[in-house]
Amino acid sequence: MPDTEHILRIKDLRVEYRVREGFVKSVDDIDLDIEKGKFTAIIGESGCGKSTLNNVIMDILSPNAVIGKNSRVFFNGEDLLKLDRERLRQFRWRKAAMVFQAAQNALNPLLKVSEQFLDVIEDHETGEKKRESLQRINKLLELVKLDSRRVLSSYPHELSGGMRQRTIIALALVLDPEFLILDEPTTALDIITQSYIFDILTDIHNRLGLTMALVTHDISAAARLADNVVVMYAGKIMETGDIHSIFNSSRHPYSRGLLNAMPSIEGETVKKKPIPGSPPDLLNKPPGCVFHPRCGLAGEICAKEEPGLEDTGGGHKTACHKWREALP
Amino acid sequence: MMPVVELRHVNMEFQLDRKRRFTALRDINLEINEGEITAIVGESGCGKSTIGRICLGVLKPTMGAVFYNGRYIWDSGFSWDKPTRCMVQVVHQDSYASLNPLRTIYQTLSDILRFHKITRGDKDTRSKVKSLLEVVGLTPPEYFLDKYPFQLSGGQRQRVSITRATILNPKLIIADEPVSAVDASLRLSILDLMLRLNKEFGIAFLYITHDLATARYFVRDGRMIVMYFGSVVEEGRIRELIDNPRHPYLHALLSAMSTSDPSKAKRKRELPLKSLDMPTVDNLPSGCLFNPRCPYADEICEKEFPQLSTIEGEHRISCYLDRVPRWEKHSRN
Repeated sequence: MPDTEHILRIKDLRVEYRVREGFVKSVDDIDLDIEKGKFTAIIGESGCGKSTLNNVIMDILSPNAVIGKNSRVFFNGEDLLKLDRERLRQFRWRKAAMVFQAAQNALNPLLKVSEQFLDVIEDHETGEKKRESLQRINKLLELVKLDSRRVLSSYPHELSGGMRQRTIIALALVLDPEFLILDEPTTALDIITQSYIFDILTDIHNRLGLTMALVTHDISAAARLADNVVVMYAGKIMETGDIHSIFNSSRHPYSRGLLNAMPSIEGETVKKKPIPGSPPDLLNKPPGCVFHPRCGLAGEICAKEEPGLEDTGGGHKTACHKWREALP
Repeated sequence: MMPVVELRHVNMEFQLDRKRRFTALRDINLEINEGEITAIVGESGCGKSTIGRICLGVLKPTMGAVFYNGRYIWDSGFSWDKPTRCMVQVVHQDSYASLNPLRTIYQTLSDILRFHKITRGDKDTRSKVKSLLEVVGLTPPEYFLDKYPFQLSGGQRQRVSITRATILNPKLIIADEPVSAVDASLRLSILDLMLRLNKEFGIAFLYITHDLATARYFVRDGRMIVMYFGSVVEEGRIRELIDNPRHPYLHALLSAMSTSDPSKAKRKRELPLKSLDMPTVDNLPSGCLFNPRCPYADEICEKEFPQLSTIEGEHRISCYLDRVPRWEKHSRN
């Protein structure tokens, strides 16, 4: 069925990594839809499965990963898990592009920036004339506020971290993709540079109307950029909704805990509290709700039954037996 | 009372190659008193970790003096005996790299106890290590004793690092970005642990970070030093600095901070900066190092390097401009 509202629909996605001790359940039977034209943030701590989720979409999982039999990942109605090599090649970068974590090191140190742009265009056989390509590249570099004359003739080491990151963002856009995934795009950068890159990303999103997904552990980055939020924990989706409903009236104890554990330069420091305990061992997940051993609201049912994502109104979904008690 | 560690007019230069020298620190003065928590904040390359290494005594400054309890440590007559070495300890950013991957937690911690003859015999050592792990919240300790670092989470490894730093009852711990690699939900618990060690054992902390928000949480009533390209641009009580920042650079840092309130965070902000680029080693600006990026800079800023001078109480700033606009907290976005 054609779905014009969602660019990506994930059904029953399960990804496990085979290791010596058994199987690490990294993404555990999740359903997720990404709205077209929106900026979605996928928030979670390390090991929550957010990067695995990305890697499934781009089909760059490590060799020991096993995708569940019933898993489906639809991109504009097409199942990505069934693409052959050639179709996959067409999909990557043209339909969906990705800006990787530590992207500062993602450029080839031996090639000038201009060559790296032209390489991508040539390799995807767009048939575009070099002069036209260069014109487009100039425009893209302008979009990320770089001086194209200087950048194109430079080697990556001649650029600062922030400039390299902006170059990578422009490079990701070079084949005019419909969907851009940003995996922790600003982690290694200083806060002033971060703030600047956030502005650029917002600008690109607004101007190009591109669907974007930000994968991050940084809640304040999500607050600044995203329209929608997906909160993940131990391979499960805990909560989804629009940014204001998640940040101002979260229904899930984990999201609330995470928000309350964020130090800030405003407000009272004494009200901030860490979430007790630590994330579960993914080889040995607790029964019932994965969060129950750390949850203040946990009751008997939480240790037994796994909560499904429940609609709590206003497009907001929560996986918690006790969400009514968690209301503010 | 003598400060535990004091730096006086410290300059640090590194030789890059035959011709070029890089000044990492300029005229740094710092006093860390017993039980005090002090933060050093700044962006990468500002020299904050170099200060940490100088306080640790592993790096000798090119100029200036370092004192431990009033004694000059780079004097030829200075004795680096065990008690002196134990005074200042360190917790690194990357707990994975700073713990030996081939040794269990027990092996890592027991070595120190044996070397310093704090415990005798296996039984005694084991029970001491257990009680240490309990202090830092690694319970039950039996579960952690024989684990290797890779078997622990980032937060747990950082607790082991903190244990290692506290075993010898130091006066000061240099905590260099101790929570930036720790998961968000656990960051505060690590900071809380260090706050408890500060309160219970009177250990002073030098908290080195780029994150003003965790600094504000951890330092509480202590002091903060803001560095830019090797110099102190502003210092004072952290509350005063965050509520009433005076240096244009601190204004820029605070404006760049995101908040977790989406309506505030989404407001379009103009950073009070002329240029994004940091100066480079080969191309240092004359006068105030911040002047090429400062929106308020004028002629004098290009000519002379501003000295750190007191504006009120302990609040000092190195800036010529008394017309830098007042910081308005609520309109910052």
